[in-house]
Amino acid sequence: MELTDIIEALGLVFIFLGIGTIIVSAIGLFKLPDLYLRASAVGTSAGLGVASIVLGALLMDFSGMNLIKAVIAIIAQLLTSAVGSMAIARAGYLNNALPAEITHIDELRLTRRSPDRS
Amino acid sequence: MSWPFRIIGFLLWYAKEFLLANLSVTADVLRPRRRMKMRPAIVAVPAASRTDSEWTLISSLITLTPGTLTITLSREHGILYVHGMFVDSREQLVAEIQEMEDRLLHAMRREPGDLSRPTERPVVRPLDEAAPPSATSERTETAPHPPTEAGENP
Repeated sequence: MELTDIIEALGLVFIFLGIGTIIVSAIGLFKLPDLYLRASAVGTSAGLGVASIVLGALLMDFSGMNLIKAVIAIIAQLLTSAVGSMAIARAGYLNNALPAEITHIDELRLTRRSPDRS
Repeated sequence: MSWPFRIIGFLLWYAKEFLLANLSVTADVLRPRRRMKMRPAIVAVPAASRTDSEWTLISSLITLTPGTLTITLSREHGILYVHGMFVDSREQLVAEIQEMEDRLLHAMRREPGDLSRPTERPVVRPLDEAAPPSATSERTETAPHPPTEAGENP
């Protein structure tokens, strides 16, 4: 039972990596200054964090059926998180959530009508 | 390389980029506030995508990479508005995004085809101020719908 032990340990490592990624992105939510940077930081947990937890769970309980489920879960998670981030960012920009001061280039600002319109 | 292998090659390259981007964003979040390296910017990137699926895929893949985020796009002008987290100069982010798009289009299309990008800056200004200020009218100035939609309701 050597191999199964190694695979199970590997699964645990992946799960804890995912948990770590999610914790770091939660810290990012508090530390980063504006909506767009926060959306970028959440991207790490939504992508890598969830994917590696699913991968870890798959390694700990491997079967053909679980492999299919895990692949579908990861693909669906990546697609929906990307589309969701874009929708949030676009809605924020349309509602005048201005980028933070440190944003040194803003070429989308040209499409605004006036800065103070709500 | 034949077509299926190009797709696999692209996926491997994207996985590498994805992991590296994750590492750099994670490292920057963990850095103390005054030593953070981030220089965010919103840049208009000229894009070579043509069909709906290409636009959807490239903008999703950009958003999925931590540190870059597609805010909106203009099909008419062929522009992706990308928010980047580590942008030293405009050219650097544009080069990054265009490299990803080149690779994606080479993987997606059976023939690479037309990869030309608009070279001049688009003249983007709000539509005439007479239009009622609403969320939908602001949308149309960056992502105009084709006029054929009006024909469906005579």
